[in-house]
This record gives sequence, C-alpha cells and structure tokens, in this order.
Amino acid sequence: MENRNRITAKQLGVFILSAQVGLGVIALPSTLAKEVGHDGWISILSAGLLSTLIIIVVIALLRRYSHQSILEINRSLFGKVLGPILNLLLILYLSFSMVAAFRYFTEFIKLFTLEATPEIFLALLIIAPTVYLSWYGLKPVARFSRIIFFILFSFLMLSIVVLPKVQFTFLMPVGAADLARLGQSLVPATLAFIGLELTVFLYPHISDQENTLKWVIGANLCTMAFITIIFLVTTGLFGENLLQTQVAPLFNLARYCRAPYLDRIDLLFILLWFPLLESTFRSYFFTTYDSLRRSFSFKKQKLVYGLYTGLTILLSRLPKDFIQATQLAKVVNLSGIAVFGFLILCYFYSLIKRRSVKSK
Amino acid sequence: MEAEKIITGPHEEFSTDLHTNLTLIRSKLLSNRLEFKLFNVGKLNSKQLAIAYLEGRADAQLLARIVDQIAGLKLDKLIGAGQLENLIKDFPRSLFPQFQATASPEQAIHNLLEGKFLIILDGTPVTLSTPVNFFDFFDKPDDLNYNWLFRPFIRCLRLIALGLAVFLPALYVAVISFHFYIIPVNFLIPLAESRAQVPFPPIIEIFFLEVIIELLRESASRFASNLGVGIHVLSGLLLGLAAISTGMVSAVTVVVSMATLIASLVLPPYDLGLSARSLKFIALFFASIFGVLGFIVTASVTFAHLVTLESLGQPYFQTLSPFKTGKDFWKKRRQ
Repeated sequence: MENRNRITAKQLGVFILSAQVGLGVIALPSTLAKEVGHDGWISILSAGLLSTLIIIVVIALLRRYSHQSILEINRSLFGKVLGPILNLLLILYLSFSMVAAFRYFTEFIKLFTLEATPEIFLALLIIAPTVYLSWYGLKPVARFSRIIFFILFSFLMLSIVVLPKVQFTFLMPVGAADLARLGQSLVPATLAFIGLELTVFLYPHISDQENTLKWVIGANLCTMAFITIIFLVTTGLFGENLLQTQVAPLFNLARYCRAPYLDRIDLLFILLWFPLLESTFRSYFFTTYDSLRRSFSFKKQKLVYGLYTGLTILLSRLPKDFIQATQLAKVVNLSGIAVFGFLILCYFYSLIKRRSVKSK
Repeated sequence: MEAEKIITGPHEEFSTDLHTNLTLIRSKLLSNRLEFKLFNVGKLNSKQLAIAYLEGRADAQLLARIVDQIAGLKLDKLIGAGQLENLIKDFPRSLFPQFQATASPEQAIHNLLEGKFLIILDGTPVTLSTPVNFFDFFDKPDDLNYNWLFRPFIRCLRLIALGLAVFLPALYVAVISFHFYIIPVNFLIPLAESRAQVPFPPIIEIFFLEVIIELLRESASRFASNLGVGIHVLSGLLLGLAAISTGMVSAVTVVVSMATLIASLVLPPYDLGLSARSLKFIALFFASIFGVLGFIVTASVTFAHLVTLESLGQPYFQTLSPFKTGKDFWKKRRQ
C-alpha cells in the first residue's frame, strides 16, 4: 500500500479549515458579544488577517528547511538538548489541545442530544470514527475532511433563510467599541483560527510543498469569512444582549426556521455539525500521534495506538463539568497564541542561525 | 446469479464456459487493443482464469499488480468468483464490494471501455471488474440511453435508495425511542395512538419485521421461481395484516419496513445490496442504544470506511473524495 500519509497542499488546506471551524465557531459569537458587543466582526476580521500574516512567516520558516517539520527544525536550531525539550513542549501543547477538544466535544453532545447517558459511553462511541481514520493515516483523514464543504454550505443556506428576520440596526453603530476593547477581543477571536499551527507538524507529508502557502491562506480566509457571516447573522437576529446569554448561538439560528413536519430543526443542524466537531478533534488526535510516532519511533504500533486512545479518553475525563471544559478551551486559546509567537521567533532565529538551512 | 436487468439494452448473459465468454467479449468489442491474459489457479482442481483489458486504456501498473496477486495465489481449488474476490481484494474484512460482479456482457464491455480489468473464471457466468469505485455500482450501461435530465435523476434516486435501505429503520427507532419531540404534536398523537396497543419497544418491533423480510428474501432466492412469487406475496400480506391486527407491530413500523425493502430492491441484489443489508442491522443496533447519536456515528464510521477503502490501489470514494470532475477522470483513464 502506498504512503498513506502523503497528501497534497490542497488537502492540507481542507484539513486546516476543518480543524479551525468545528469547535471555535459554536460559542464565539456570544464570547465576542460579551467582549465588544456588536463590533465582534471587526475582531474576527482583524484576528483573521493577523493569523494570515503569521502563517506567511511560518511558511517562510518551513521553506528554509527542506521537507522538515518543526520537530526537526527545532533540533537544528536549538541543538540536541534544548531542541527535544521544545519538541516535548509542543507535543504537550498538541496533546492538551486534543484532550480539551475531545472533552468539549463530549460535553456538547451530552448537552444537546443525550443528557442522561453516562459520558464515558458517549466518549467511547464518538471517538470511534477518529480512531479508525487516524489509524489509516493522514490521507483518509484529509479525504474525510471534504465533508466540511457540504456542512458549511448548509449553514450558509440557513443564514440566508433567516436573513429576512435579521435587524441590521442591531449591528449599528459600527465601531461603538473603543480600540482598547477591540484589541483585547483579539485574544478570544484568535481561538477560531487555532488549527493553523498544525501545518508546521504536517509539512513533510505534503507532496507539492510549493503550493502550501496558497492553500493554507485560502483555508484561513474561508474560516474568517464563514465566522464573520455567522457573527453578523447571529448578532442581527438575536441582538448583542440576548447573544451574550447563549451557549451555542450557531444552532439557535435553526430555531428561527419553521418546517411543517419537524418541530426541532436545530437537532438536525446539531447532527449535521457532528462530523465537523469530530474533524477538529481528529486533526489534533492525528497530529499528536504522528508527532509522537516520529519523535519516538515506536516498534509496537498497534499497542501504542491502543494505549494512546485509552489515555486520550481517560485524560478527557479530568475536568469535572462543562464549565471546566470551557475554561480549558480558554487555556488552549492562550497556548495557541504562545505557539504562534514561538514559531515567529523561530523564523527570526533561523535568519541569525543559518545551520541546516536549505541551500538554494 | 441472475443478470441484472437491462431495460434498453440486449438481455444476454455470460455462460459457464470460459472460451465461449472470451469469444462473446471479442465479438462484442471489435478492437485490436483488446487483450487477454490466461492463468491456471488451484493445485488439486486447476481452473483457467482470464484477465481481459484494453491496451492503452487500462493502467499497465495496475495490470502488473493484479497479475502478481493472481499468480501469488496458493490454494487447492477455486470454487467461484466470490472466493477469488475475497482472496485478492485490498481490504478483505470490508463489508463493501471492491470488485463489481456481473453476469451481463453489456456491463462487462462497459467496464472494459472505462479502462477496467475483467476477470473471467472458467465454470462461472459471473465476471469481476476492477478497479471500481463506490459510484460504479449506481451506474448501468443503458443509462446512456436516457436523456440528459433523467440520467442524473435516476442515479440520485439509486443513491437515495441506498441511504433509505441502510438508515431508515435506524432513524425511525432513534426518533421514536429518544427524540420524539422533533415530531409536531398533530403528527405525534396519531403516531402514539397507533403504538398504544403494541407491547414491544420500537427496536423489537422493527427487528422482528426486518428478520421476517430477510427470511422471505432468502427463501425467494432458494424457492422455485414459478411458485415463489405467489407464495411470497401471499405470506408477506398475511403476516403484515396479522401482525398489525394482533397488535404485535404498529402500522407505521410496517410502512417503514416496507419502504426500506422497496429501497433495497433498487440496489444490485448482491455485492452492494448485501453490504446495505448488513449495515442496516448495525445502524439499527446503535440507534436503539444511542438514538440519533448512534445513527450519526454509524454514518460517520461508514463514510470514514468508504474514504479509506481502495480497489486495486485506487481510491474507492473517488469522484467525491478525492474530488474528480468527469474530464479529469477520463484524462487519467486515458493516461
């Protein structure tokens, strides 16, 4: 069987898009409404453009080293002692994000579909597609991610359906929030763009690396456009005060639709969103395992994979409830920003320390 | 195996003699690029097997791969095409067919022209085509006889039929058992009334009906065909009516089971049809425990499996994921 991890830059773009959109967008409108009111769309656009600039720098770093991921680059840049320590920290970040995403995902499913079912059974069930796909490599994971287009299209259609009920006065006046508050809101807005950093771990698997920048930027801009639309529609529909009280405004959009033979259309959209939630978690699940596999070269792959899956489920049980799971998401947000910062530093350091840089 | 019905094409079938089948293909496909490779398989009971392909259209690397697979077979006897498929397919444990089995020369020629390989085994009228993708099973050679509007419509209808055949009972059980609040009150009341007399939970009801249908289907394939139709219609009707009047099942459950049966009849009777029937019970099991979540997880795992599968090293879910437009697909075939 051919290399099951080899993907194209286009597939990476879709993978990144599904890593970004799944979890971040559900509660983001209400978080931003609390921070900056109806001007949250300005924060989303700013965070989107800022993350695009960051990825340009990050890809420039990757291009300086031929076919290497950040794990190998760190060893070249920081030596045999500091390099592995930094790699370990990066893998810890990935593991933490994965566990947090999984717990949030489980809590969310419990809250909206099966409140009485014990969470451990839900966790065992919903991890199944991810465990299956990740075992077969990055290629099937990326192929699965294509389902995102159908889901995003459905939600855009939903936005169009509720558009007549949107009150544009809820979005006025533009720029009511002051610059300081807008600046502070960049931090929660960045949560929606976390997932972009996975590029640095998966770069060696890309067959046409010269196209990476184009597709990753494309993915980031798509995320930005989608989240901006969702923010504008939810704010225009609910108003910033009502929006602040909602757990998942994305799905409350569906409650504004009336169908003759269905009473709860929102359940349909929650189910539709399930593969995307799964995709976000899966992106981290695969990348963490792949990074561990490449760093430690396991001999008994099946055993390690089984242990890894079991550990993921057990660690995701550590937070007590939904509130703690939400707090974890905030930590992921901050650590994601720290990783972005670290990658930019790596780029500038690589300009100074030219060892192992690809010769032109 | 009875050939699948072709409405606007010739109603022919392959025979059990290999050389007659090869002559039939040669007479129907008048091309000097048509090639055959012959092999002997089986140590104790050796059988002849041929691989047919169109030179220049079929991929040479794939030919080498399939030749290696067949040459590497070490077995005493080869009974039929199904056994051969199980021995050489890329994912032996998959529920989905990775070869297209057909007894129709029209379908076989259609596949050869698409650049596929045809495996013809002596002693069986069923040929195997490879590589195939999921959507090939919804494609019939006489579809090209229909007009531009009806062709995509009929293909969509077959895809919808697969969805209904696999997931309709599971969805029904999930909604009735766990998420009845999605049904508007004016529909919920008559539904509850129809179920009021039924002593069993929905899963037992539908499982009972589905097993009866499977038994009827199995007996239909074994029973003499001249008597079979009458006996099966009669037994189906009597059982259905008696089950409703005695309160064993509700009328709505019978409607769901019948709709599932009709949808499954649209699918090819073997390969994909068998996969759909097996998957239906898996989806039903998970939906009865976890409601719509069980249903969506089964659908996700099925989709995950489909994008993972390969037939002769080619992506099984090709055309959708990886996405290929018709133009790209043909260009690749020509190369």
